[in-house]
Amino acid sequence: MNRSFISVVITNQPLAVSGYFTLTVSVDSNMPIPMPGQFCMIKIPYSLDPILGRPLCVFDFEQGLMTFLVRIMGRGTALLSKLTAGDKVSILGPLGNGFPIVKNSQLPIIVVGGMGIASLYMFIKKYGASALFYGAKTASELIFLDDIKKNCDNLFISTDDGSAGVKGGILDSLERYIAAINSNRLIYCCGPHGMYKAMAERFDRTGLDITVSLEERMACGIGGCLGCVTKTNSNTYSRVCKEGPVFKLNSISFG
Amino acid sequence: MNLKIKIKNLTLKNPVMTASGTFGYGEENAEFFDLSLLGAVVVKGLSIKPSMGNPPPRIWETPCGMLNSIGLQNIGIEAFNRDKLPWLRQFDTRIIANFYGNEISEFVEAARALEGVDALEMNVSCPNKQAGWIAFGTDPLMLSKVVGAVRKVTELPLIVKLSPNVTDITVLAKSAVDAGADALSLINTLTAMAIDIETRRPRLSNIIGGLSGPAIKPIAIRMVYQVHKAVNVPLIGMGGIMNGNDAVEFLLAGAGGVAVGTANFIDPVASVKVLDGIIDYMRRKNISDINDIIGGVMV
Ligand SMILES: Cc1cc2nc3c(=O)[nH]c(=O)nc-3n(C[C@H](O)[C@H](O)[C@H](O)COP(=O)(O)OP(=O)(O)OC[C@H]3O[C@@H](n4cnc5c(N)ncnc54)[C@H](O)[C@@H]3O)c2cc1C
Ligand SMILES: Cc1cc2nc3c(=O)[nH]c(=O)nc-3n(C[C@H](O)[C@H](O)[C@H](O)COP(=O)(O)O)c2cc1C
Ligand code: FES
Repeated sequence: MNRSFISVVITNQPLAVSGYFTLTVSVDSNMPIPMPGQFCMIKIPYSLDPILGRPLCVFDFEQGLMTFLVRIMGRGTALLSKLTAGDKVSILGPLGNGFPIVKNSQLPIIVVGGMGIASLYMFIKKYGASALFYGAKTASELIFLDDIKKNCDNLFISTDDGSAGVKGGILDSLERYIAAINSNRLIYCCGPHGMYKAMAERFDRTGLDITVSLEERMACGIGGCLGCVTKTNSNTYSRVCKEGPVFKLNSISFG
Repeated sequence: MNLKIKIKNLTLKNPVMTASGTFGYGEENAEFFDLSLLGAVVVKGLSIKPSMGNPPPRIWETPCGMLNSIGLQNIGIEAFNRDKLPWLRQFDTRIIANFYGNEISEFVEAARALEGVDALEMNVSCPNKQAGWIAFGTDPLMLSKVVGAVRKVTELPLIVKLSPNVTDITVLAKSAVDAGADALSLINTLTAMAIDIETRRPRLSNIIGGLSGPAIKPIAIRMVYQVHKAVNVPLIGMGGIMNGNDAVEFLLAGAGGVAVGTANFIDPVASVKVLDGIIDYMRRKNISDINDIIGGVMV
């Protein structure tokens, strides 16, 4: 099954909050349909510097178009931000394992920290969530909040500076919510690594079924280089690109 | 058009191989193309016991290249023979096992355990492990001892993969050939380092890693050229091959075969495109036998 394509940039849209943009590209008809949480390796074709593709989650996939939500981190993402309509990009994907699809009656609680929305937006849009916890540093970084509101009415917002929702971290609200309900045990989460560590500590013995999406530096994205590993609880290394990027929280070692 | 090359008594249908450690055990790339198209698949470096490798971060990109410190993570020879080799055998290509050890006895044991493959490639050069075995590839006497010991226990074509982290690679090349190497692979990665100036921390958890990719190609070409003049065995050239033209450059410098490494990370089908590029070049130049261009640089 081929997953290596050349796509054409359709739009490249800076967001209101600086340093973020959405990149929408054409999709080859042979490309398998990406599952929520899967990613692609994106690269400017033939360039030797930067030489490696950049892993980006499939943010949205609709009507022959695929969109990535990108935050400018360094040279690779800065170059992608300068692409204009008609430019070519090479796309390798969809790659990795996404978030498991569940029955409507068992929708997960979704927890998103900042850029984590890139990984879970498609899931929320397609399936919704039994409750959605969305946290960011400040109100302007609650990206696509209006769209998300349309897909989930049980929404809990928090910001570090209190500019929107509850002031403070998202996990406090989550903990209160979980204490109040005892039916739903399924949580899907994407956020910074520190948030996972805090979750692992807080919810260690709660019996929650927590699934998270990890990030590691990647070279190949397909499992061939062993560059992207994360330590597991059985003291082995798993490839984030191949066994992940979605893992059970309790299978990851934070030691 | 003849693309066949020979390593001792082993014929490869074409000169293009995969560089060890950039192609796993073949499974991932087989989702993208038929491995039977390749001259040989060289698998990730194997050891007697499984090895966990280094903690992440293991990779860092540099201009036209990358650093890695995978630390030779592998499943061990027993699991390779049981789980990977039978699967690889469905393809009409040669299977070359790259292997290493931390002592001479481990090299010997590994070579013995790998008798089911078509050829052996000894990694005496990988700069990733901090332990003493780095000396195998950088000291002519040590190299001669370990190659000699492995030579005694195997009839398979024995390829020694040289380290570029030496002052004069021809000295090591001669030492390996005198000790019984049937062919030489060059080059492995160059030891290298990068620092995050914001945090003052090394980019790799292992601090030092190996540099690969187009950034090292001119060094590799120079070394192939020098070694080709110094010894009389086939050379497998590698280091930054991205396309057919790069591969032809290696052939002209004296390589009898080529291996594609880092390029596999950018495009899983890169090795096949390299082969196509070589064929295009031969057509364009009216060359009917690949062996006619090996070492053909005009100086
Ligand atoms: C599976 C996966 C999915 C991802 N999805 C998205 C996404 O949808 N949108 C998005 O904006 N980003 C995403 N990322 C992160 C993105 O790949 C990196 O930000 C990007 O590769 C950085 O490239 P650069 O050249 O701009 O920065 P570089 O110059 O390579 O690095 C700049 C800084 O960012 C750090 N960095 C680089 N790569 C990563 C990484 N993978 N994780 C954390 N820090 C890193 C570096 O250490 C460095 O300090 C994803 C990463 C993974 C592994
Ligand atoms: C991620 C990675 C892993 C590697 N692992 C091995 C290995 O296990 N054994 C080995 O002999 N060489 C290993 N190498 C070296 C390559 O086989 C090759 O010699 C080197 O990368 C130069 O070729 P390139 O520039 O085309 O990548 C590795 C290289 C990379 C980039
Ligand atoms: S990025 Fe190469 S194995 Fe995951």
